[in-house]
Amino acid sequence: MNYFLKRTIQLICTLITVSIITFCAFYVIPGDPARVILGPDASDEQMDNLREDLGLNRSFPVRYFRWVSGALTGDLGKSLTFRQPVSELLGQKLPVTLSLAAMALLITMLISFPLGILASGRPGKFLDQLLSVLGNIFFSFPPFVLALLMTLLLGLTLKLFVAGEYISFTESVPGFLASLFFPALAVAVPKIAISQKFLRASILAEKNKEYVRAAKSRGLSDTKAMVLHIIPNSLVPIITVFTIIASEILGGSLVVEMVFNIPGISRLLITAINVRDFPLTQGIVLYLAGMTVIVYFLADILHSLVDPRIRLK
Amino acid sequence: MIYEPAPLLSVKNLTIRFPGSGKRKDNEVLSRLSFDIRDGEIFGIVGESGSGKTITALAIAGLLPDAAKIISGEIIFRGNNLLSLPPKKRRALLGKEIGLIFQEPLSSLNPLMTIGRHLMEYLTSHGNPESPRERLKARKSRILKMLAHVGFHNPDRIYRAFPHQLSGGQRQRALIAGELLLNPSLLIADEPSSSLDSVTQTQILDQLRRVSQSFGISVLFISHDLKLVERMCDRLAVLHNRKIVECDSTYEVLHSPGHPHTAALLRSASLQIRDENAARPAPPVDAVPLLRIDSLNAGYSSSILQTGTEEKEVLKDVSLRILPGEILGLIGTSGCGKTTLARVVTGLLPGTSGQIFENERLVVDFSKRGRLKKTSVGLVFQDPYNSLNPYLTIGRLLEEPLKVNHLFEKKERRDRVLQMMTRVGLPKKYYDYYPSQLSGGQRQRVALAMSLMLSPSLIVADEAVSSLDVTVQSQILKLIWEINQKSGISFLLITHDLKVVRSVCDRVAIMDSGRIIEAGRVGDVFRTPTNPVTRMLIQ
Amino acid sequence: MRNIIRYHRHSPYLIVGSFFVGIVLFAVLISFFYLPHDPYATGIATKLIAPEFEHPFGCDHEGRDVLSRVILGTRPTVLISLSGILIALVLGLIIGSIAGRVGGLIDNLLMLLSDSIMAFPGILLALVFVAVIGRGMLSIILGLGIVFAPSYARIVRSGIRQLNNREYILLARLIGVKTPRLLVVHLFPGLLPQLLPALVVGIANMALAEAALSYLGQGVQIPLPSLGNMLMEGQSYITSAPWTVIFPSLFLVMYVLGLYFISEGIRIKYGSGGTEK
Repeated sequence: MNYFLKRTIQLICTLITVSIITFCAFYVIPGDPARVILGPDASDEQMDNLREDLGLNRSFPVRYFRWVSGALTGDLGKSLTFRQPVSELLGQKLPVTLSLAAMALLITMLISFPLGILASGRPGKFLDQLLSVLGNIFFSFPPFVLALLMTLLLGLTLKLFVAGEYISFTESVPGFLASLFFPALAVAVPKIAISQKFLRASILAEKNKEYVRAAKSRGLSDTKAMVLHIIPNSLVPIITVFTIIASEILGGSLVVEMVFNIPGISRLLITAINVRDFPLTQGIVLYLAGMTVIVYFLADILHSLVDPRIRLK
Repeated sequence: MIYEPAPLLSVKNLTIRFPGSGKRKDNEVLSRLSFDIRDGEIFGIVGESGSGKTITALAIAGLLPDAAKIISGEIIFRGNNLLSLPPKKRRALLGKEIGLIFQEPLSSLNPLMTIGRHLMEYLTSHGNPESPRERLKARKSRILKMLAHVGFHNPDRIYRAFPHQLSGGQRQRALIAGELLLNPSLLIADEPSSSLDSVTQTQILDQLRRVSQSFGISVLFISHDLKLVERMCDRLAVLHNRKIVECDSTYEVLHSPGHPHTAALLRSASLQIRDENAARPAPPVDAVPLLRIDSLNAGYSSSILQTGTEEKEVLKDVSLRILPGEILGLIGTSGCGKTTLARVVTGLLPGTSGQIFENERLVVDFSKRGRLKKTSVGLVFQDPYNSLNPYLTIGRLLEEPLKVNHLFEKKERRDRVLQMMTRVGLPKKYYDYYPSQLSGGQRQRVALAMSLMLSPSLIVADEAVSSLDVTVQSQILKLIWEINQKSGISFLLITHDLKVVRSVCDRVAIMDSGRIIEAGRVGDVFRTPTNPVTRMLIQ
Repeated sequence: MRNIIRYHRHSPYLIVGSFFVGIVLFAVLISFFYLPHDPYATGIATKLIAPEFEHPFGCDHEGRDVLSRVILGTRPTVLISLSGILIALVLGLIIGSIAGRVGGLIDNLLMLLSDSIMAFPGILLALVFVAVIGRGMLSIILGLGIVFAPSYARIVRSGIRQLNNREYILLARLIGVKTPRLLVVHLFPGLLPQLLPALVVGIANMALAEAALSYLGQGVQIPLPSLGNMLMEGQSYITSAPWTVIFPSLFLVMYVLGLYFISEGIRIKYGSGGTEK
């Protein structure tokens, strides 16, 4: 498990760097948080007291370590505007964003895998060309433009859904999932295009390898060679592609939430940035980035489990 | 009339083309090929690269690439024309009746599957009616038995191993075991030993021959190497330019070749290059050496955070002298440290301890953490496809050594490059060509010319001819010989091939697991080897 | 011109892509000389009017001419995407070359840094950046440049590490080629087949990121029009005046699609790395 150990050390290093970047970014932010909270009319004394309370007059390393050790125990400080613990706010909004991202990822896989296999079947033929052109077109629609067009076309014209309607999961779980479907689709469509393209290329690359020919020389049919040899091998590089896609989907979800008026983390983040609520912004950014790092880590572990060449050096 | 049994396989008038599109013309890869393989014999097909050997093998197996079109001909196996058989029936023959062994065992194994699962596939792809559980157990024991049969002492470990955990020879043997599980009547072996070093090569070929005899399997043995074919085959066909030019018993073909190409192949294969009468007298053994390497150690190490190579000692206490004006052969199996030595001598890799002297003047002491500065040593690599920058023209490639060392004016440089091209036998028109437009042999001439540009006193050639076809090989060796004779440049010729050493070298050093185990005049060492490893290499 | 067309005749991707990008670049060009209407002129009479002869793209909620605003709005998108990619490329080449050539601890540290930057979903880091250094055009360019740099650094580094042990690089070192020349003459050309398509795609992605930022109100600030913030403003009127959303979308998609097509064309044409055949 040498690889596992190495990768874990790497994970910890990356998490530390991510937290430093996040913290530094807001350390140099212009504007005095105390002034943000108390408003322009506060006296100097009030300001000093508050600075003392928030630990703002401590040195950089002290503040960083306080913040990180707090973050490790789930305490990210208090939001300046909402006067609520950051972790509480995150707890309310994050599940919505994550559900949206997870659903988008699921849709991406469910649609792109069959399409990729289909396109690789007869490369260069009509179906392949069509999928490739369509893929390139859809790939270039930014999620929020797609979301707007979907609202216009599917929502307002075809009345498939009510624009801007959102059902929370406490009300009804199927309703919640249904109200996330079209937003998730908007996030997923460009990713379907890219993942289809990668899978196709990966399958075609594996198809021409010698071991496939060798497998056929044992009497395996084309279908069996495809299922037993080509597809498993072509999925190995796809794991990496999908981790990148997962991170992009998270980013895409942020923007699409705004279009469909979904009360996820996005509105919170934009508000926090606009009013310079730095503990809240820091918390959200750290959480999202930390999660991405962990997803990358898990993907690498999965990769090593699938591919013995990584596991057994 | 003598009764002649029907052949096991007979190929008749086989023509295969890759149809061109638009302006490109059809590319014919096999032209009216006909030959028979009899029951139980080993039949050889010899030819240089591009002569159509592999296509023949794939056509028989029915695994031609999609683009290839069979224009005419029949392949008759046990009375059935394979080409008119429905695909399903044809597939049923594959593995069971016709087995295939490929050149590169690593790439013909699925990296995600254990050897055991591979071998299981041989059995499962041809359905078995017994109960599944029973079947699995019985199959496994059959596989383990077969692995033991092909000479594995610990079949259990091999069964569980992944391809990348085995050596090349082990992989190839495991694949042979797989073929034998189904006991086919014809085994097609496409250059089965070319990617292996000479000792392993011998083992694999012996294995194949034994297998053919004890199981009564006919073998179609495809190779570029006449020597191997001579050792293996009962009959052989010589393939040249997509056609069979000669087909007869091995003895007949090799002893009274009926076609000029066969004769040329034979001549090149024996590599008669040295002309003892014309040769300059070799330098006396006790002459002041051009380069003296003294108890050199070298290896690789890596930092903790990086994955990959661990600390590894490759060269152990190597001492070697290279005399002025001589061609010194350095021979050894793959992985013995030959290439590392080449890199240390040229200064691409530092040693961990030891000294190097040039004309008895100390140039580097690795024990004192010295680094070899630029020396007058040229280097030629094995693979001419990788050793030339694909983005520069031949002219610019050859000019580069002069340019970066600020030698001569622009015009003078051009003249010198053209002179050099003539010297290594490259037509002047190649000045503006890119390496990709040249053949392997021509590229190796460019590589040689490049190493000559800075007028070195020594050129290290690391397997410089081993990736070339025999005829080209002999041309390049001849060029090396001529350069050595005319200008007195010393060569360190690193190779795994005894023929190469015999053909041009004055002296030879033998390397085994990082040590020089024997050195001396070529004749002496080959006649009376003192070290057992040398003896094994030479036989 | 005729020669260029003939040369690209067999790659429809390149032709169509260049055509789309050409339209957008043309819009940028004429925005300096001629706009059909004052893009800032509001008017109650023209409020939300549908496309007609005088206003081919209609007018928005403040009665401003959408065509003029779209033409002007392509400017920040194109400017930011092109200059941002330049910053990303320069940073990527420098960091990647150092990491690839020097190796060891420095390589590990640089890659750790770029891993960490890549851990942030791109748009998130850009948001943080504008939050920190303000919403000016310059900070968007700088921010996006830094966000995009690691991926180029990775391409350059892994390419160099692959090529480092290529025999022609060893030979170049042997004949005495110094590091700067080694990088520029011998290593960088070998990276182009991978780098070039990635660069073109990068321009497109940067345009998307800029549009997303502006859409979220964190990028180009109103009243200065950009394709992104026009979408933000138009969104509320999507039911009554879809043209306020459709035309900015159209130009954005044309630019991005064109760039993707060009990169696809490059990939197909030079897919084999230009070395074989």
